[in-house]
Amino acid sequence: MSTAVAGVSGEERDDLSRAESRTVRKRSQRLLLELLRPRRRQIALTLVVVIIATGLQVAGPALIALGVDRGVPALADGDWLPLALAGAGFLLTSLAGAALIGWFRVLQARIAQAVLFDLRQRVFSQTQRLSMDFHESYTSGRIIARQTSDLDSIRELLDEGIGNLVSGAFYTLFTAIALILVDAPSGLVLACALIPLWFLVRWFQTRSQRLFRQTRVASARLIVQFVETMTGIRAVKAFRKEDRNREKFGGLVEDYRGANAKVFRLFGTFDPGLVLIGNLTVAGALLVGGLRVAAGQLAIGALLAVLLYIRRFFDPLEELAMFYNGYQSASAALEKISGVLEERPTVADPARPVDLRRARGAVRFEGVEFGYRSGGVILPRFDLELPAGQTVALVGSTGAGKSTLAKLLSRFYDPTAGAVRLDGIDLRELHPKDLRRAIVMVTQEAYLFSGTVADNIALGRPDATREDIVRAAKAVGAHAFIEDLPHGYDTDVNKRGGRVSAGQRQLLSFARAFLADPTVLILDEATASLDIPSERAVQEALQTLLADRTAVIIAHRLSTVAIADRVLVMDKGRIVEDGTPEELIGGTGRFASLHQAWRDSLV
Amino acid sequence: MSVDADRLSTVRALLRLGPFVRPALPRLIAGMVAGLVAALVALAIPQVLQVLVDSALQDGDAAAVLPSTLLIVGLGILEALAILVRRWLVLTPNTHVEADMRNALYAHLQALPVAFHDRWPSGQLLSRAVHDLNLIRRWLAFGLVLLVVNSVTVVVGAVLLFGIDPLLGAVFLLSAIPIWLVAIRFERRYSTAARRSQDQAGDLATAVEESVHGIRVLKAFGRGSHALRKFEAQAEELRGTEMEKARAVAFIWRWLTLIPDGTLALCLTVGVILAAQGQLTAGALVAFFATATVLRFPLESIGFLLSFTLDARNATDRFFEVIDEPVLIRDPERPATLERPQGRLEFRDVHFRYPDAPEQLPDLLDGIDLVIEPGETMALVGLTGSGKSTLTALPTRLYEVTGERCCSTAWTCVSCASRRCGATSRWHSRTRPSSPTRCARTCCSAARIAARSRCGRRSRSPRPGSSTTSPRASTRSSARRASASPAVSGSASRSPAQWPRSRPCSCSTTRCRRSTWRRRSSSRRRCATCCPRPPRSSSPTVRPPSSSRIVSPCSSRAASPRSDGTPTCSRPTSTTAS
Repeated sequence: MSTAVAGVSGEERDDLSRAESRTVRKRSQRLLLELLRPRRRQIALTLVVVIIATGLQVAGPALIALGVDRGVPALADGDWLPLALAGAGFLLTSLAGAALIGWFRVLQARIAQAVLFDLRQRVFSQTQRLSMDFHESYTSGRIIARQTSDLDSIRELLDEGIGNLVSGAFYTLFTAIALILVDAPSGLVLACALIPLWFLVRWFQTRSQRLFRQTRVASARLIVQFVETMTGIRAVKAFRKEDRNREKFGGLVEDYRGANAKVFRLFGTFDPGLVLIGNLTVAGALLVGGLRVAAGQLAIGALLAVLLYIRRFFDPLEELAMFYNGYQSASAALEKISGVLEERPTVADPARPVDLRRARGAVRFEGVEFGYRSGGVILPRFDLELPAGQTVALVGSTGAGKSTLAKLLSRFYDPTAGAVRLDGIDLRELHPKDLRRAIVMVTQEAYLFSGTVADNIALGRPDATREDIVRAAKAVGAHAFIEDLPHGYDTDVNKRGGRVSAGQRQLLSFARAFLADPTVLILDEATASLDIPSERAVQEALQTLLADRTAVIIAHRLSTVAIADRVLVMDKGRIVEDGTPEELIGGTGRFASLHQAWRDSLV
Repeated sequence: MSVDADRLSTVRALLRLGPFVRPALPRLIAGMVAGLVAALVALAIPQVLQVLVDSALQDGDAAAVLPSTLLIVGLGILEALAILVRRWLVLTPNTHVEADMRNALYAHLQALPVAFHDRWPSGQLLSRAVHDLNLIRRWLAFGLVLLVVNSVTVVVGAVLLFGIDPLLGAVFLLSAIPIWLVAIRFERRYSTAARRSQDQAGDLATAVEESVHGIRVLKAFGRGSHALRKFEAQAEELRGTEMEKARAVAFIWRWLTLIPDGTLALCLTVGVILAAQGQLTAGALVAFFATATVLRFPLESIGFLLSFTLDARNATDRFFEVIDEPVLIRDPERPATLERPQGRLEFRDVHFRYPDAPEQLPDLLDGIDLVIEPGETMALVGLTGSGKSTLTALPTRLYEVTGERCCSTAWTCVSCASRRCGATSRWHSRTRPSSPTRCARTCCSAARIAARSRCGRRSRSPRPGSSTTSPRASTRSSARRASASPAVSGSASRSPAQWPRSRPCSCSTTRCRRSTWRRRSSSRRRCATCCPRPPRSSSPTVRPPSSSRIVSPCSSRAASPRSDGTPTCSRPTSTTAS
């Protein structure tokens, strides 16, 4: 029952069954409680403050009644006391109420911000913890949306919504109590008004639930289209897709507009409905109260207080309805976030990790088999041993499984059967810190983070000194171009003048790996964007760098293969040739023909 | 109100919404009128009470209660109706305004050059397209309407209060002064914090985006916790700013609770004294407090509406920040159509520099002359960062030529695209945007410019032999070659004047040439490499009518004097190369 909506599955579905939505709701409530529990005391204090503050605010009309009913006749007799009591009481309650209301706002914001911080941190670290298969199926846009727009709707609720709800709820409650205390029969009138009010709110809730969901779905679609266009603007322009995009986006905007308009129409009916009920209640109270005043059973001041209380009773209701809007989008957001947080990494950190201080770098694939969850075996069962210090080149056509093998070795994925071992230890049992220190993979896409060039290189080893960084850059031949940037190593890669080409990016990511100094280095087409001189420089560096470590190099350039001790040729997930470059070149296999083709292109 | 010298006033800034709002304006104004009716009806109810209390209740006349109640029922229904009308008038046109603005933003963003998108992270654009426009719509529907309606209500209410009793009215009105002072002070405090928090939230979003897009790198190096710590520091900063905002909000709440309540307390005292002296009837006292209660929300809402207006103003600024960005690469007004494109692509004295390139660097593409004949396959070879990808981005007009020397006549092909071919230009010339990096894979694999736009027809006929090309490589990448190419020495000193402007091309062109010659074994392929290759540069007749070539943007400022129409790779005077 719950598996269908476990984690992020079911996030896109519109047709959750009752049981399923209950599971999802429970999950997000659990998360909410977890977030709030450490702040129990603060919450209690905040509640006390808001209760006192609204209580003081509600005192006003009663004091007015006191002034009008007692103060006027007493003062006519020369007795200032009732007036002084009412006036001073009013002034004091408003002073204290104002101070407390201000304090409440600060307290509330403190809790809200702490919860948000906590949630941000959780989602961020969960994103980092989750395995690559999650990231490859759950698009980057969605995981970013969880952390931005979804957190925004929760922020809006916490910032405004909750505070208004709590203070509004206490305000109506206290107003009702005060009304009954001032004049019980008028309380009956208000009680009668609660019946249509209940129906109105009920109707609003059921309608709005559906409409808000439509709005959210429409806005999510809009966002996806927008982000896809902007991140792929080059493709859009190169293929002149602007007009078609505009049409498509226009359609989505219209859907969103339509959904929004429906919501506003709902509010446009609900809000006047509230006013109508409020006004009719005032009229009812006037009828009941007026007759009793005429009969001398009720003081005029009390009638005034009754009317004021009834009017004030309806004031926060509109805001409470607004809260419902915020609450719904926030709870939908929380449901999605709790789904992400519920996901468990398929490549999990070991429960009892084995430490490996100094890896030698002997790698063994033992009966390893790999296929994606969606089915289909990518790598059929195989055994492979890479002795420590060996440089192995993986060669093969696109889709032969080279990168998959590299991903298994770097533990981006775990094999579906068998084990990958480093120095005899299953990678799954290795402490993640030791694993990452021992095995580093450099991929073709060389991503740069915002920050300086030095920061980006230092990612390889965050405690590296500037000298280390420069040495790494020099080793891979990146030093010269970095020095030529406007601020050298301190150039911000996203700022003015910080433009670095694809090849330069790769050099930087290479410097990163150099700095990390792993025992096992995997280069997954890491030199694809380099020009010949850079690649030569890198290869020179490689020869020294790889001297005493295990390396797996995936490359299309046979020149890179030349520095390998051993070549593995892969085809359709299988290793079809295995030998030293010389052996294979001398043979008649695929590698020999590949090599021949390459040589031909050189001559 | 507080306005920086170089910023538009809030009103002027918001007035920029005019063109978008205009279609909705009549209904917006009608909505305001309906809102006013509702407010006035609400104010009328206390006056009925006054009459009722004074005329009937004091005398114990129960018969007068029912008609007054009925009158109040009528007024109550009228108020609800007026609110209904206000809402329904305002809501639909406003959603259209929002939709129009969103479409306009999207269309404009698509038209803006890639250079713009390089500068702007998509998260920043998204928050404008969604969040800011939502805010503007809400402000138009509620903020603006209520600001007008509530202001009028306060004025009318004040007049009514004066009518009930001048002294009480004056006391009540005086309370508006501290409210205004508080509101202004709040505006100053809140708006700076709000702007800062918007920026910090943007930075945080960027950090999130990077942590997701760079997940492979972070995982490969096991730097997840490192990224988390950085993220936490940023989130902590944002929290600080948000608390500052919250304190500003608490400040205004405090005063907006205190001032109206304190005023009422004062009015109560004054009113009771007046009533005791017989100067004020009980009904007038009731009407006063009932009216003051009606006015309470409009008065209190001023602070909220002001901060709302400021938020809307910020959102408007952020919207126009993008809309004001000029579309430098425009489709021509009267686009020419290529009936049967043949594919002759010509670059003439093409200059290009990225808008964010530092002043001291020369143009990245510094005077390129190049003709690619129909059917010709050209390989573009060069060092990393020498401008290969940039050159290929020009025919598709992903970037537009820059520099004063690229006047329209000097830039025939792409000017053809820009001035005449227009929209068709991208149909005819197409780079593979996903793989600009491929061009450097091997020396001999070409950056294919599969250009098919035929530009020669209506352009000035190209001078013969103006083809040899040497876009000046970005010198920063060439310095790096010091190790690889012995000819480049002394490039350590980096003052612009001393930059090695010209040096032997250090890329492995010889190999390219060999391979191309060998494989095609005909003059249909050649290696149009740059400097200094005397045989090539001195021979004006080398260019075959149709060929596949390898063009190398290498490290020299080449091909400058072309007065004789000879392809040259001359060295500029400032050269430091041997």
